[in-house]
Amino acid sequence: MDEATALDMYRMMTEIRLFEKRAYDLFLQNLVKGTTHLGTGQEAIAAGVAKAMRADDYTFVTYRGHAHVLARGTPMTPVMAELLGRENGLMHGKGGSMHLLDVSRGVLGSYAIIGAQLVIANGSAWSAQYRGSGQVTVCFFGDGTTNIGAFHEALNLAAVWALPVVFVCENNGYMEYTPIESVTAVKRPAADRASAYGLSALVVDGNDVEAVYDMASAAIDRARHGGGPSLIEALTYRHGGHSRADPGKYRPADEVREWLARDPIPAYRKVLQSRGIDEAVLDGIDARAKEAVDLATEEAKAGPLPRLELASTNVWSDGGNAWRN
Amino acid sequence: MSTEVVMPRMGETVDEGTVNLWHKAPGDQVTEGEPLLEIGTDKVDTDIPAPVSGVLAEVRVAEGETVPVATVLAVIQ
Repeated sequence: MDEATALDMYRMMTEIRLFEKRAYDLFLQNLVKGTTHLGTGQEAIAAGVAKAMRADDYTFVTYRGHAHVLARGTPMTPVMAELLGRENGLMHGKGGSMHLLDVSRGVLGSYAIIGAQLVIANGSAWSAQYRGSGQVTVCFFGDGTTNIGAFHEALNLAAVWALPVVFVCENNGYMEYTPIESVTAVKRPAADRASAYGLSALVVDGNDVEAVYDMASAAIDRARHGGGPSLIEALTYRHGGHSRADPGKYRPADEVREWLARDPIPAYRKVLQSRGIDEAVLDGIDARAKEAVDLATEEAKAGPLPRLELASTNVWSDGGNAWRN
Repeated sequence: MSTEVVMPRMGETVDEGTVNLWHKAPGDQVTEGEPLLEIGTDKVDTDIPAPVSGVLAEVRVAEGETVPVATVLAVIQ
């Protein structure tokens, strides 16, 4: 791993962590409109996969998607402003946390309907295949999605058509409040089902950003060169509850402690230091990330509430709402 | 500098919350992120962390009281 790539992944994880921590603080101050789902503890997946992508590749994410949008390079201010329901938000404050979208950076949406994005991701992958553009689609989803019909339909069709798509299951152990193993017939909810679609069973430590990067790079490269889809299961843990209102008390204290000790960010910091990277360099990244979050917070809070006339804009992709027959 | 801790909105249809219990008393030192109090709503009971480190200067809502969203519950100096 070259130093520039490694430091950039550390930066991405740090920025995402501090951004989400701030989002939680702002929620407690009643400034965040609508619900929010934080991915604290899962940052290595977003950073490792995004770093392996080409600038024109496509991303599909779930309602727990702040990390993946930021990892594609969307600036913090419009994302924070969107959470706060302000006009300077990514969707002018009309979408909120669960519906982040940035077509200019290939983020083709955050989907709150479980499994919905997998079949749509096949569409963008098919488009790239048809156009011969070499673009790869990466589609993230949670462990609970593997028990939804759309997961199986999408995997099957992607395999049949050898689509350039990489499906990434972020297995954090819980589908909302339910331990995934208590409702799933196999141990690895994604990987153990891969063979049903002729795919390899790929499992990666989702808290090891370099392992994620390596596996994603191989899968993306394969997809880009006509090798068809891959299904990656990344094992991780969310430090908090399912959503802002969930204290997550259904999880055994030992389990939470064990995973907190495997926090991907301090772990990667240690790895980088062991390779001789000066602590001051890492401290500098931390400090700049905090400054960026502070600035985004101020800019987002300074944004006006959306004007009423914006309510009927962006119904169609041309930005309008004209009736069509 | 003082920081106010307010009653958060725990759901779109939740307009009030109850202070179930205080983990800290006035005068106690608190550390950012540690549980300060537990609130209860018809949706969920949950701990609210201290937003900053400092001294818990004031507790304005007693245990068992139900107050509207955004009511100041405490002040940290």
